[in-house]
Amino acid sequence: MTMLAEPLSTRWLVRPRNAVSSGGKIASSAIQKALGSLERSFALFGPKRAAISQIWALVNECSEMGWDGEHAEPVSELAAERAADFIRALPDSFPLPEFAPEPDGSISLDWIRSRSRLFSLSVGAGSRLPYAWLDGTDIGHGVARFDGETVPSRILEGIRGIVDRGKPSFWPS
Amino acid sequence: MPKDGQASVFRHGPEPRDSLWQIAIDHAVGDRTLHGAAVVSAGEVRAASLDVAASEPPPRHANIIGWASSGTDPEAQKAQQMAQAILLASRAVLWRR
Repeated sequence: MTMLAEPLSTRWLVRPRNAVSSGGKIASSAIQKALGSLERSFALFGPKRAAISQIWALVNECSEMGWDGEHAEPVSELAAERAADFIRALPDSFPLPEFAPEPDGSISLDWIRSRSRLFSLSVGAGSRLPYAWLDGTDIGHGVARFDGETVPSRILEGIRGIVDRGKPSFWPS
Repeated sequence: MPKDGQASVFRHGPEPRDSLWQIAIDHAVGDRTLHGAAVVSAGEVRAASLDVAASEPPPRHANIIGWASSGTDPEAQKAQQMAQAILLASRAVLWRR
């Protein structure tokens, strides 16, 4: 389980003007640098935390059978947990997807560059993730296994190939 | 995405656009807020190797059928269906309400 450590609001503890000795000033500076790093880490995790909140909002919105007006199954809490794990496992600063519920209770993660360039990944209760992409006139699909901690490289490459300019060097068939 | 091999749609022809919104409100939206509709021609559906089959009632209701079916591997089947769905979506036009 990944735990989020809230940044310590310790400015009231570290006041350079309160450090009188040279040793005290050095310790104060080191603490401030450490806190700055921690707060920057928190800022980087901020977008991921917002994304994970969106995932759980989907669970709430689509918690009843037939949420689509038809016969859709409720969005699975297990799917939401796995989707959250996927988001956490993405590299820092990696573009985050849009989320959508699917009628089988899974969650769709979509990276949309334009109407003809997108990468879509489906996260359900299992460890195998179906995905598909459209890049102009090129289209493809595949399945990759996600262990809950490491995003498969071909999925990362596929997403980068859509959100970045140019195509990735490897397209699985 | 389809469910049980079908994706529910409503046909719309030369009728005023308001009639489309009314159909959606009466038969599809439920308690949700209707923001718009994705509109695609039957020709585009067939160009994506799918088909449209009338299924009334309710009036003007149809299903998009012909989604990929892999049989033994549900994830592979879903991946194929996702490819069909995004191809179809890329050819759809968004009508905002």
